[in-house]
Amino acid sequence: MMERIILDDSRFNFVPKVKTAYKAPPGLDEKLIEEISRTKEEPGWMLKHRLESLKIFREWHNPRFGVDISDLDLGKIVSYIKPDAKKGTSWEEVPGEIKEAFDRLGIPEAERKYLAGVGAQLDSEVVYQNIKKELEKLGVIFLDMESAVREYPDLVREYFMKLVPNTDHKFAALHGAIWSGGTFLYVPTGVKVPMPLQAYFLMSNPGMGQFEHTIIVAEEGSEVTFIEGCSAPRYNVINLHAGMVEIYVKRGAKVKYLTIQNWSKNTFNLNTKRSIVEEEGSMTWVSGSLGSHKTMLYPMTILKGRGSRAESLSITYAGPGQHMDTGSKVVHLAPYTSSVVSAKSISLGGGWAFYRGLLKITKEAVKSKASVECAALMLDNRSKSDTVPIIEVETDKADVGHEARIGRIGEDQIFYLMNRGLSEQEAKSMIVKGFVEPVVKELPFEYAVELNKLLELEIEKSIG
Amino acid sequence: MEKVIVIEHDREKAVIWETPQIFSESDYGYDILERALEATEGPLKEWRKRKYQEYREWGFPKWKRCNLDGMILPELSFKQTELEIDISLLEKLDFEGAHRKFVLMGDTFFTDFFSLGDGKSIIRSNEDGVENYLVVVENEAEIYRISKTDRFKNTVMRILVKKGARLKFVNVDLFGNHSFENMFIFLEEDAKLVFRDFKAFGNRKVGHVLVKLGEESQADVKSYFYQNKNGVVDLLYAMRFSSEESEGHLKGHGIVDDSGKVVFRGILDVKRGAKNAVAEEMEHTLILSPSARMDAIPSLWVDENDVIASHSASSSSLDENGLFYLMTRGLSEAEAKKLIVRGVFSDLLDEVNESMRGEVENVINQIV
Repeated sequence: MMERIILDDSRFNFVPKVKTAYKAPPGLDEKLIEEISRTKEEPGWMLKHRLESLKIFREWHNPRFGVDISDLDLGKIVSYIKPDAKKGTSWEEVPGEIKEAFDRLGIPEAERKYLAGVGAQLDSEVVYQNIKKELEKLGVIFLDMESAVREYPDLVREYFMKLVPNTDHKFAALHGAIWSGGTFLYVPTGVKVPMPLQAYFLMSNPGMGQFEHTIIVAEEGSEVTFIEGCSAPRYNVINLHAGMVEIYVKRGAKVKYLTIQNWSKNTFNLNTKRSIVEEEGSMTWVSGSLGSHKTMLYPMTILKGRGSRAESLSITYAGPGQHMDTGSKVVHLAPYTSSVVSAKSISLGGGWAFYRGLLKITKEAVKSKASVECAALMLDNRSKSDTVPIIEVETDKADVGHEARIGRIGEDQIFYLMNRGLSEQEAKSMIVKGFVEPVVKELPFEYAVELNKLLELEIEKSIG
Repeated sequence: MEKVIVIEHDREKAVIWETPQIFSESDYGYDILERALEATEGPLKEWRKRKYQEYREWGFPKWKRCNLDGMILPELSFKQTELEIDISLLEKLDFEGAHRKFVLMGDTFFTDFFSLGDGKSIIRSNEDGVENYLVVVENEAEIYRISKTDRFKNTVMRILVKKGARLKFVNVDLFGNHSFENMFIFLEEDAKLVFRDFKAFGNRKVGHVLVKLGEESQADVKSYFYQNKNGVVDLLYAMRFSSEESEGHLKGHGIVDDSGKVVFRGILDVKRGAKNAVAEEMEHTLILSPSARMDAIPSLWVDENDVIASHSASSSSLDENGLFYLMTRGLSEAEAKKLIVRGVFSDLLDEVNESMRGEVENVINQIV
């Protein structure tokens, strides 16, 4: 009788017919790294950084928490694939088969209707990037990371893996060694980017790893919204995604970073996202994690400047065969800082949703306020839902609160709505939509519609 | 062995942090065991020998949140124990505790063994050493324990509350350089537990309570804590719901002052099949000093969706509005503060036994 809701990811589960110009052998060694660096025409410091990272990667242990990654054989992962395509600056220049792949994902419509710029990464390289002329005039730099390394080496070097060093953890080191693709976005002082910018990451090859690197620098008083979408078709071998996002929010700036992750069910998603916020700056993370086999992802905000703010809204969906270990980290380092974390999860069909959080209020963060709220909806009793928020407070002059609740859709709620004339299906659909609404309302229109549509379809299926 | 943290689902297991261990040359060795064995007869003696084999394989924990630097094990003075203990019950109630090393130390090197049952028991434990308790409640019991330690105490308690039985347990643990308490309380069907735990002062004070709830059983656990100077109080209260219709409530209230540190872990672990379980936790720490520190880790692990499970944790400084209100009623600031601090522990005084109320009140007066 009770719910069986399985998200339909068939829209994303197609295999793009894209030729590759170069495919590295599985595994990782110095020779491969030198080859990648040479192909990308990188400056010497970047090659040095890659080789140092490789050394650290070999020495580091696996994470001592989170999902079990014992079945992730890094020796079998293909860490670099170059698609057979030139980088386009307009949609028309992109090869037909790649266009088809991204057409399936709705990228052109998104750009046409809502977005100022799109960066689309296929496997290891960005194949298409467009930026509106008016943004160029404002001095906004919106480039694929390889081009940025070549064209703005000093600027990139100032920020590249400074917030997440390659010594942070094993997969940060791996990323530092083998990163490829991603986006560099620089918003000059006072510029308010009028529309969201978007990047889309697609893995088209079985057994590959994708390691895109994204840097956003929002200078003083600037504002920008960035949307990241990720997906990969389903293969019967393991894929690895170990991207990295570093966001620098300068004094009074505002950055909103939205992610919809729908990697296929063979993907290990071990991503690292971090931001640092200066005085009166504001950082907002909005995340929807739907896909992947196993995910470990905890977007982190460091509130460094007085009066800086962080907000994190997330929805995690764990369906059959999925172990989603997601959460949020906020570190308050300065006075009068504030943070709000709202994490929601849905688990069903045997899925496992695990919230893992850290909220740290240091001695210096007097008069700070922080709240964490976790809510989990378990739609059957085959699934599992856990919350482990860690709260560390080092001052007597801060207010900190945490709340969590886990439960199912109440029969009384369904009864009430059915009394008002709704079918059982409509009632459940409405309750699930109400549950995810705080996150959905932050998404751009097309994503919100898509997420709602997926949930609705699945609820229909479950009742049938 | 009942482990504290069991996070697995179907065939998947979460990765769990394994605490590093420190092996010490000044650890209790075979010579101490020989002396311990002289004080015991019968099956308990054989059991101690077996436990020693496991004990020597473990090092002391190197905890992140509560380091044990400078801990020195005391000379032990063993009391004669000639109790006929059901060893199978000790094994059935075997558990991991704050760290397996300390449970095994309690089983191997206990200086005193308490076997308690129905009725009222009042225990004053004022000596350094290692204590082991086996409590089996058939019908109804009240236990009042006050432990004051100078240097070192390690306590292991196994408590079985049998079907339909009732236990009220008030545990007061005061002072001490290093104090460790490891408790496993197993509630059978329809059993009821009222547990009040008060921990105050001391250098390193570790409390670890795992309550396993059977069908239709109920646990009402309240924790009161205070820490100051450079002391650390590291607490864990876990409730494991494995049967239908069980109900567990956990509340923590406490204060941390000076450069003290409080670690409060509350775990509600609802296993599949624990239908209609009610699992609730609330914790609040009042932080009185700019150098004081609080770590709260309220965890909810839920395998069953037909439950009510929630937790909350918070911290704050003294409520300025509350102070203002009291001061407008004629109290000085100091008096108002005292009143607020005293309010944190006021419920506890209603719960303690007449004979120990004065001592507990004295301790609360020291706090305020």
